[in-house]
Amino acid sequence: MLEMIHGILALSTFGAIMDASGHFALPKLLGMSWMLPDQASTLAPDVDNLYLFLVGLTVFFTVLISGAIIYFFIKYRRRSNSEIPELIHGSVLLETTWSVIPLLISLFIFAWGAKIYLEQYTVPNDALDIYVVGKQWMWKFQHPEGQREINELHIPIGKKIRFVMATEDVIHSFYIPAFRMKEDIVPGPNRYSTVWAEATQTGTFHIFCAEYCGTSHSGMIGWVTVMNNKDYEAWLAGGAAGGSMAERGAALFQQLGCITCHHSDGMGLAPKLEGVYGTVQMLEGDKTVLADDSYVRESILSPTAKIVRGYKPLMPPFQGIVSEEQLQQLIAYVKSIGPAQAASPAGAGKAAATSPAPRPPIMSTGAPETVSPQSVQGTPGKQPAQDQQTAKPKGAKR
Amino acid sequence: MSLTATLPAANAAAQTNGEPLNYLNNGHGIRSWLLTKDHKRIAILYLISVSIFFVIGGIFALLVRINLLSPNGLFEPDTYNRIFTAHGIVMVFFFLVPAVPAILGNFLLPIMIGAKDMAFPKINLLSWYCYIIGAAFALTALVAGGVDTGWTFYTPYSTTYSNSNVLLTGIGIFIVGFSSILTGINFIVTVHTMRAPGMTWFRLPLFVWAHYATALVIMLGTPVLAITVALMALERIAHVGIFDPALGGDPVLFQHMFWFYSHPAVYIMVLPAMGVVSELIANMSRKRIFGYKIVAMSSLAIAVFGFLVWGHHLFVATQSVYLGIIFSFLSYVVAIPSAIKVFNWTATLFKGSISFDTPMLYGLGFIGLFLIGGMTGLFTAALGLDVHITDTYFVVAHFHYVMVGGSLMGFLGGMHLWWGKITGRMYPESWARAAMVIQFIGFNLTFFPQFLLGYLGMPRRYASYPPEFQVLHVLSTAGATILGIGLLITIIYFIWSLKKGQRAPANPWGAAGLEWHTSSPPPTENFLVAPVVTWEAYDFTQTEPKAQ
Amino acid sequence: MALIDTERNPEHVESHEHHPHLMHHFDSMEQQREAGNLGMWWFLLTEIMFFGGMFLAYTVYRHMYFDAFAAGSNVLNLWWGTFNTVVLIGSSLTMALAVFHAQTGNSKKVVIFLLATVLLGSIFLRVKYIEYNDKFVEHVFPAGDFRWPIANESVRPNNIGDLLLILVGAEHLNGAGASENGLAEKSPANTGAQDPAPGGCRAEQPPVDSTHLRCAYHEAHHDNGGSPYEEVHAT
Repeated sequence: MLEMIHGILALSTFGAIMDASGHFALPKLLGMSWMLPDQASTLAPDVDNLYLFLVGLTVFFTVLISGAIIYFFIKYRRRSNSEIPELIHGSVLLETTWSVIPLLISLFIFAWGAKIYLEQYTVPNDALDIYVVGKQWMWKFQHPEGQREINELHIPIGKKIRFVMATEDVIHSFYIPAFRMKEDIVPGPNRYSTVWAEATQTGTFHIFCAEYCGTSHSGMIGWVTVMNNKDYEAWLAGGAAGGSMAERGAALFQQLGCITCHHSDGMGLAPKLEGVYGTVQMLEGDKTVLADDSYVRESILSPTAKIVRGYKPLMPPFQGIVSEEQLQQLIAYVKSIGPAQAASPAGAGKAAATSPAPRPPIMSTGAPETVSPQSVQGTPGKQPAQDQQTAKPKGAKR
Repeated sequence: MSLTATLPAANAAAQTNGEPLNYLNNGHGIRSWLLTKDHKRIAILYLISVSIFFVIGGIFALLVRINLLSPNGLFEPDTYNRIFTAHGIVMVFFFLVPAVPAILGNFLLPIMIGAKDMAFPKINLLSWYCYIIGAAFALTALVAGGVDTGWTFYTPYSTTYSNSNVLLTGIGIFIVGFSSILTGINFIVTVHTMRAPGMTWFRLPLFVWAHYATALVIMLGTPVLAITVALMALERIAHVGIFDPALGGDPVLFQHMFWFYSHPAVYIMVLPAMGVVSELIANMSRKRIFGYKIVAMSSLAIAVFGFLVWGHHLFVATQSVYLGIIFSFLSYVVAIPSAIKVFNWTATLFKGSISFDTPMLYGLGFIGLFLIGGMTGLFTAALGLDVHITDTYFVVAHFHYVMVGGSLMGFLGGMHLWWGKITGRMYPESWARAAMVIQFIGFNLTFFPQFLLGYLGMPRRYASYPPEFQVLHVLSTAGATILGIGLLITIIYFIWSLKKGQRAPANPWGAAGLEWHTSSPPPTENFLVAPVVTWEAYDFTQTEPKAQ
Repeated sequence: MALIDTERNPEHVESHEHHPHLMHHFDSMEQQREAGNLGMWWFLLTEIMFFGGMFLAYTVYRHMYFDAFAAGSNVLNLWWGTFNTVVLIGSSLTMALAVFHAQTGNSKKVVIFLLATVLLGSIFLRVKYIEYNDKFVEHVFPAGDFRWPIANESVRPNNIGDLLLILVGAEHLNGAGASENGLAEKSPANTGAQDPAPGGCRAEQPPVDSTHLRCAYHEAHHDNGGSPYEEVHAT
């Protein structure tokens, strides 16, 4: 097993064959770059390596099998209508061989694919957040600094970008072929879809919706523009009316009356929110939950789903009252008053770069259940909650 | 019952007395067909109705390709969405699933095991009526404007947002599902209880093994589809909240339930075709299939493992990463039995007596195309790669290589091999070879460019697309035209041969298997003298040389 | 059942006597019976898979919305449910006895037990009518004009729990479900917040016709101050 992993690592360092501009050069050497879309993210070469390996494997087996068929076809063509060839029952040795070899090859591909997948869905801690809302049939983007875009997205090169995505209606899928990046956005009160990418090439690339979403599905496309840092700063400086996302969120926090219960001194009817984001919260019934985007979202839309220990379920649901974009602003605000950023409420996006407390892994799994199931009924907890206090250093979930 | 007859002689003797009595001329008039309990006549009923749906589905396929000639699309997006949905639903539920089992399986399975009929002839007829009633609902939905959800009916689009005939179509699919289930029950019980004396399990033709495995999948999977569609309909009518996130439901649960059937459904479509191909390869090269037992067992392995891999359709559907890894692993495991089959078929040719006749061409065409279909399955099962290629034309090309390159090639190959047995007439050989070659070329030209399109990022189900994809789309449409012409030729000469074709002898190919031991077409009881099997499967010394 | 095709092949002459119930395509009664049995077992398997899909959905949501399901089970009528379970099992018994007597050739008892089965079946349906009717009168049904019947009830189900309890639970689970969760009796210890505050449920998004359902769903969680877990809140 260990050797296998080493082998995979060795193979995937194909990516080391870069040309001067930092592009993966093997396809170019083989004259195959026309087969590949732009390689504009750090993960794109990894995916392409696996792809090219599999293309080679397919060519090999196709040639092998069709060669054998054509050879037999000619060599053993029927020469007389009455001939009956000798009976061959089979060969255990041969059959074992061609069962085991494909199995080994398959397992190798499996491990390679899984390795890339883990990278794709291990959201880094120091990423810049871009908030995405899909709706029939457009993409809406918000930058932490407050800029809002529709079907156009500007991002800086060489920075890890985390896309935090929600949908207003049906399932959409956020797909940027040049980044080899795709993730479905499933509606529901308790989940965000999260995916990340780091652009390696400036330019303009397609954004597609990859999950069929109705009449104008094919019109739900846009462009992502990757800019170098200077241009991006200039673009950001172009200004956003209304301030950063966190500032807008803070304003909403006032407007919606959240502040009447969520006192910053912890003496209100509801828990204080300062220093909450990214930590593990104790809930009623010996449950714990990591205060990530999905949790904050659920707590706003469907507040009684998870009650913080020691508080009463008093908060009304805000589903239908706040829009997806406002929700993201509120979350940005809660995040900005999280443990590390508490000092500078508005600096959510950039402060993250200084790598404070580990960002929570994004836990939006198929079943929107982030609490330990055995304790749902409030039976004496089998698992000491303290065990779960430590957030995993590396989030391996989306 | 007489246990002593030597079959070929006895059955051939009965045939020489003028116009032999067979299942086709035993009873005339529409009533004798619509109320028949003869598995062979039911197979003919299926053949006619499934062929009609194949033509309908094919027309929709051409409309899809025509639309994509231009980057802006020739139809309105809404029209296009209804067209590709109609293509998918018709082809999957009304052609691919019933094609091989309900036509060839129905006709041949009892004969191959030496039975007089299926175990439950009335249920067999009921299954056809289920098909027709389900088809009537689906056709009504089509005529009333169609459906625009895609054949996958993903919620909440299908339950809340779509303004099309989701309910009618859902009812049609629900009913046609029971048609499959009834056929499956018949297969399993027939194979268990109706085998002729001496026909042991390991003397069964691989066609029967494949159909047995298929029936297992049908029985375990189709009821889940039925309940899934029913719950979706309930959600749509009454907004009960099962799949609606606004009411606390989970849309991904729908996907799990849907693919729990629909991935095994792929094996419902391709396993019977694999059974056909085993017969094609063995009979046209007069060789016992290399490693008979492992090929038989691989069918069962595919049937079982096929149920454990549905989650590989959800790698980007917010499924947990660890779940994705497990499903990916299992998907690679299920690839092995298919690989074994391909190797064993190839090895069967070794030292064979290989005929160049059409059934063999289809058999080899199947291996070639299924090989590519299967190998590209390794691409889509690779987690990191699938993130990029899922929901793109790569997947479209992949499953068309499996479904069309696999199932359709197998179906057509089987139709050619057994056409004489079914109709009593031979098809014209040279036309058939030409048509096969045209289809093979047209098929590859249609779907190979779609692999490239997919990897370049072209998403599926797009009515319009960025202009840089146009060249490959035009190539694909050109290929579809050629494929369509090839299929049209086949349909024409099959119909032509019903009147004008040469009379088929009992065993035109010098093939092994009980079906060649009775007349063409067979009598209503299948055998005039009940067969007793004393030889192994694919024992070509038990056959008479090809009559020519 | 024993019809033999009139379109028989004249050359096909049976050389031995036929059991009158043997169908033409079987060789022996034993084979016929074996086929029938096997077919029935496989049919039952498909039924398991069919309802398995529904039970899966039930299990998933019961887990996700446990409180709501507990509350939902409380609107079911324990006594009618228990009674009907007995009726249902009793009818299985009488049917099995009818089959037994059919096999031993006691046709009089066959008739008696079949009539008993019919009677029990009618009772079952009648009780179902009573139960469903109550629910419809109170607007406790999965969709449309759903209302939570008991105004002061502290725990309310969401509509999923309601649906599945009615559709699935009604058949086999209602008696058990109700008693199992019977302890979820409420205390009037609701601490305000009865009214859906800031806009509450009324201002929700489409689908409009299900707004109140979602309302019920939120309130189920919202108002569970009186649930048996109250003591936990206090800690």
